[in-house]
Amino acid sequence: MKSTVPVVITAVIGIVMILDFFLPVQSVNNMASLLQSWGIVISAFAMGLGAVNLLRRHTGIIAKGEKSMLYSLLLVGSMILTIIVGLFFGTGSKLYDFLFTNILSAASRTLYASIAFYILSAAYRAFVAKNLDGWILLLTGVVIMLGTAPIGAVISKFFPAASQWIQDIPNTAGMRAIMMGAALGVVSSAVKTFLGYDKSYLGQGE
Amino acid sequence: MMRSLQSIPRSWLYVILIVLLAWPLIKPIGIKLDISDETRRCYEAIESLEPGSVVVFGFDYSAGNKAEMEPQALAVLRHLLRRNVKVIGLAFVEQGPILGEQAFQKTGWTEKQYGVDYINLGYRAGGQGTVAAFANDIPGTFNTDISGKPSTSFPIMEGIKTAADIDLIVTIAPGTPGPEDYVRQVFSSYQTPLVCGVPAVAITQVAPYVQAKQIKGILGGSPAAAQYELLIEQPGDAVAAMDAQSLAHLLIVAVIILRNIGYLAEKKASNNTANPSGRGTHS
Repeated sequence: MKSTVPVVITAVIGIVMILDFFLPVQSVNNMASLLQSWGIVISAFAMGLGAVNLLRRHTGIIAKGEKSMLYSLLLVGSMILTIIVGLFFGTGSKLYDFLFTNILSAASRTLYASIAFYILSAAYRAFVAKNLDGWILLLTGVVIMLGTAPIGAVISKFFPAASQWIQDIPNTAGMRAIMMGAALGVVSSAVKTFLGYDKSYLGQGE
Repeated sequence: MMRSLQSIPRSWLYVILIVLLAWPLIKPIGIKLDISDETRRCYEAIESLEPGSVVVFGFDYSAGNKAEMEPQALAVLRHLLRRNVKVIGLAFVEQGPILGEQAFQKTGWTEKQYGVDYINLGYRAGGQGTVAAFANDIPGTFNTDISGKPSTSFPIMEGIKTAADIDLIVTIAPGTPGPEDYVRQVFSSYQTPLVCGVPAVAITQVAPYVQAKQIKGILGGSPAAAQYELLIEQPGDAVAAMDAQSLAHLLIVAVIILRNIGYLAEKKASNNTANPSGRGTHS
C-alpha cells in the first residue's frame, strides 16, 4: 500500500500528460493544465526547501565551529542580506540591483572569465597526438577554434567552411543518434515507472 | 630545447594570455568579421516580423553567463525595438528577470510604454514542465508581472492565451530550460517560430533542431553577437571583444602546435636512443 499508492498516482498523472499531448479533448487538457500548475507550485516550494536546507546545513557548521566556518558565515550573511533587501526594499530596488550587479554578477563573471586560463592550460596538456584518435581530436579542435574566431577566416576561408561542415554533418549525425537513443531511454524509463518496476524515485531499490 | 616545449610553465602561458586579451581591448586591431548564415537566419526571422507582432523574449541566462549571453540579448532587443514589435519578457531561470530589466534599460526599451509595448513577466520555477504550462496558458502561468501586478491588466496581454498567439519566441539560454525545452513543449504543439542564443559550446547540441527546421536560427557565443551587432549597424561590446577572442584562439592553437612539436621530437630522439643503428628490432 505504501508504495502502490504513489506508483498509481505517478502512472495516472503521467498518462494524463501523455494523453494531453495527443488528444484534443477539453477535459483532459484542463486536467493537464491543472497538474502543470501544481508542478509549478511544487517547484517553487522545492526552491524554498532548498534554501532552508542550505541555511540549516551552514548554521550547523557555524555552530560547531568547523574549519570551513568562514565560508559558511559568508554564505549565510549574504543570503540573509539579500533576503532582507528583497523583502523590504523589493527586487526592483536600487539597493537590490547594486548587490546583484556589484557582488553576484561581478563574482560570477570573474569565475566565468577564469575558464579561459583553464582552457589554455588544459589544451596545452591534453591535445597531444599520441595516436590516430589524438590526431583526429587535435585537428578537429584546431579547425573549430580557428573557424569560430574571426581570425580563422583572415588566415584562410578553409577554417570557417570546414568548421561549419564538421558542425553540420558529423556533429549533427552524432547528436541525432544521441537524441534518438536518449528519447528511447526516456520512453522505456517512463513505461517502467508507470508499471511500478522502477521505484527509485520513491527511494526504493533500482 | 625540444624538451622545454613540453613543459612551458603555466604562469608564462597565463601572462601571455592576459596580454593578448588586454591589448586589443585597449587598442583594437579591427580583424574583419564575416557574417555567418546562422546569424543571418536569426536576423531575417526578426526582420520579417510585421510591426505590432508579439514576441516572447526568454531571459534564460544568469549572471555567470552574462558576459557571453548578454551581448546577444542586447543586439536582438535593439533589432526588435527598431522593428516596432511588442515584447513580452519572461524567464525560466531565477536571475533572468533582473537581467531582463537591465537589458530593457540598456537597449532603450524603457523609453517605450511599459505594459503596452513591452512587459517583464518575471520568473517561474519548474523547468521544462513550466515551459509546457506557459505554452498552454501564458497568462495563467505568468499571472503577474515582475512588480506583482496581474499580467492580464496590461494592454499588451490582450488576446494572448497560448503560444499560438505569439509570432516569435526568442530565448537566450546557455542551459536548461533552453531551446530544446521550447522545441519539445512549444514548437511541437504550436509550431511557434523560435530563435535562440546559446554559448559557443552549445551550438553542436542545438544545431540538429535548426536542420530539422524546428528552430529558425541560432546565435552561437560572442562571435554571433558581434555579427548581429554589425547586421543592425550598432557595433557594441561583442564586436570590441572579437579581436581579443581571435588572439586567444590563436594562442591556444600555437601552444598546441608547440607542445606537439616537442612531443614528436622527443619521441624521435628516444626511438633513436633505443635503436641507434636504425635497424629493425624483429628477430
